[in-house]
Amino acid sequence: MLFHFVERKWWYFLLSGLLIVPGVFFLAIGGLKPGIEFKGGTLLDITFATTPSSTELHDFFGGLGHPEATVQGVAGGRMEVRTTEMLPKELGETEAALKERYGQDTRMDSSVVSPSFSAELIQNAVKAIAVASVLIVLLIAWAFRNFGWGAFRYGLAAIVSLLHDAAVVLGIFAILGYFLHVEVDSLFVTAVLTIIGFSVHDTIVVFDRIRENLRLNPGEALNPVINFSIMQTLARSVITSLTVVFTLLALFLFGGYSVRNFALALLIGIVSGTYSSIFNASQIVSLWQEVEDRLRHRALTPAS
Amino acid sequence: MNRAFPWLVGLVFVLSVFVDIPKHQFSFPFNCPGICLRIGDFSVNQEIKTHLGLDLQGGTQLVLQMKTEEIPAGQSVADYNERARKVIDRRINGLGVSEPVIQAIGQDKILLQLPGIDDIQQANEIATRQAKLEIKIPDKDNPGQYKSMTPPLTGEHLNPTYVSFDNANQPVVNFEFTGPDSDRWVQLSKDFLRQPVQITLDGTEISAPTIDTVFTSGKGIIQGRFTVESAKQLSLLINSGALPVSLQVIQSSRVEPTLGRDSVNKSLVAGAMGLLLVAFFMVAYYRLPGALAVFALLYYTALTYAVFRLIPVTLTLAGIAGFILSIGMAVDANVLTFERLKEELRSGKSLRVAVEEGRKRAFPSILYSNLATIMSAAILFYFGTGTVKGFALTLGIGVAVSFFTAVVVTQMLLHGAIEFASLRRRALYGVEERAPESPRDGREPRPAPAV
Repeated sequence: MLFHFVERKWWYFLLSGLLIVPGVFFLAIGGLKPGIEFKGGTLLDITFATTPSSTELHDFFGGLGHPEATVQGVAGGRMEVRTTEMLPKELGETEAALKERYGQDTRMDSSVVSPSFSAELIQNAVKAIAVASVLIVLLIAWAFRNFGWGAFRYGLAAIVSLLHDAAVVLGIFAILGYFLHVEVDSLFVTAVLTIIGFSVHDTIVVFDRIRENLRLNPGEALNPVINFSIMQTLARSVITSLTVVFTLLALFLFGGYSVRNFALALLIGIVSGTYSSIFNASQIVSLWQEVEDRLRHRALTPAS
Repeated sequence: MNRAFPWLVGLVFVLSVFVDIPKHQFSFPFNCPGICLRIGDFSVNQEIKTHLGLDLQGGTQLVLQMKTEEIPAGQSVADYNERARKVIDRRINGLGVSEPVIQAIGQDKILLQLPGIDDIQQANEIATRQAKLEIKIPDKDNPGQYKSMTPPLTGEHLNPTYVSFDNANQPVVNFEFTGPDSDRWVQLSKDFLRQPVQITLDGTEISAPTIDTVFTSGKGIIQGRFTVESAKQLSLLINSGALPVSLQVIQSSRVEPTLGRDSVNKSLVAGAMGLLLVAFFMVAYYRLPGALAVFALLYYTALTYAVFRLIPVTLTLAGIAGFILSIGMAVDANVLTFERLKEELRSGKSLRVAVEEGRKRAFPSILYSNLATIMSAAILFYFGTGTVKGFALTLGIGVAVSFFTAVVVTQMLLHGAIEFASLRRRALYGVEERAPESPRDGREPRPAPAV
């Protein structure tokens, strides 16, 4: 069986584009919704004996001086209420008021972040992403140190495919944020960084094979070697991702509400990372070679 | 491999399982809740238990911001931070909260976790109450008002206060000034004999007793219509000392214990399902090596959990997610090895050679993979706070442990298995009985031959 991994590269690029372009559109119109961690404010997670309607709960919070409260029903008859920052005293009063209105077995989890602190959390996230990017580039440089003068194109291809994965995850969460009000928090940033690490490693495994096969078959054209190398590493790439997908799926389905979005982000990223390492990364190297060949060809046979 | 080595690996497994078992169910042969060792002067006495984070056991977390503008110029912010943490620590100790966390975040912030305290107002009181005791004297210019002495007479130099009962059987707080403040207190009783003085806490009056005799020592009492509880609380606050700087809550979260327990159960189900899915898949796809990998995975789970209990790592929801994720990743090393093993077998190698080659040739990739993940975990641990740190820590430890189990334990089992003739059939390794000639058409390059 011979699969045309390289020859059909434009189809694979197209599929990636179809995934990324809508995502980028929703990113651009502000679909990515920051959670209270990054925005500041109060998130109350309330469990009721008998769940009231969201408009009723909204009015209730309006009566407490929080007309800006947004109410959203979540799994298990719970309600999430988001308001501006509440100080501990106000939280205590709110809980007392809730218990009085909806019964003593009403339970309220709260999480409050003041806007000044969230600014710092954003800063931390940005720092982590910056440092991770630098280290990833160094890791790529180190992994390809034996690739000779061609190392640059491999490194670039690895970076493009990790940007691809980040774009897919960010884009899908922008769409989810736009339509379903899914918010992103520092765990989401964590997921993206984990995905990047995973994606780079996946790509390196494929490139390692390409290098090995190039060395063993001097004089062979690049494209067939790439195709064959992808075939050889295909089982490994798919199976490794599958086992991770299995555990993430378990986490997504059974792990409870608070880690669901985290598991989802990882899930999307791992699948995208596997796709990009099989269908994008090596194809970029091949494309580079083809462009280079064409330029050289043109240089050798000057246009008459 | 050394002959003693398999025994060592087995011993580690047995010890891990021993550490994993809750000790209230199984305390033989030790009559202590964890590791109790004494060799000469060296003694270990560590309780082994699973530490659950606030989101799993319920409780309150506060992040406190110091008002740094109150700190005199030239003074170290970190120094004030440490002093503030000590004060809070003393207050919490007086309350008897088990396993509180009081950490500095950066220079000017403090993280406070109070497991089991789910009254956020009480937590706030403990953390932000300045507790500055001051004695104020009558203000001659404004009758009925009080003013600070110069310099102010505060509760900074006091012996430990205690609660007793006065003649009317009301609880009162006893205090005693020390050093020069003791003399000032005596002097004050002479200057303001038969006049009221005001005892204030954070600027609010607690009581304003009238001085009716000249004091002979630095002793005094605070009467303030206390209950026993509130008198004790006041005594504790004064004894813990005043916060050197005002603190402000900038982040708070409170988790109900019941919701936390619910999360633990869900995570356990998710972990078990993940393990089961991976195990099922590995056996179905890789047959005998897959089954061995599942053993290695159980080994991995037992060892990692033991490490968590020993270090100890505080498990949070995100931390458990990292642990579960690492189960999936732990298999990667096995997959890399087994894929190579299959290739070597297909290229006509004997089983023994193929096992050895598979290990050797997969190793660099395994090393890369683990290093990359450990690196990202380290970054996340360094920059992250709270949940992110928990995830990074468990993921990092998990991957490090998996490096051991997947490389050492699986290989050992595999080497052991091929000693049995009945376990040497190629079909058991997911390869056809006879190695076919590798199919080639003209376009296909030679695969990397097994050396």
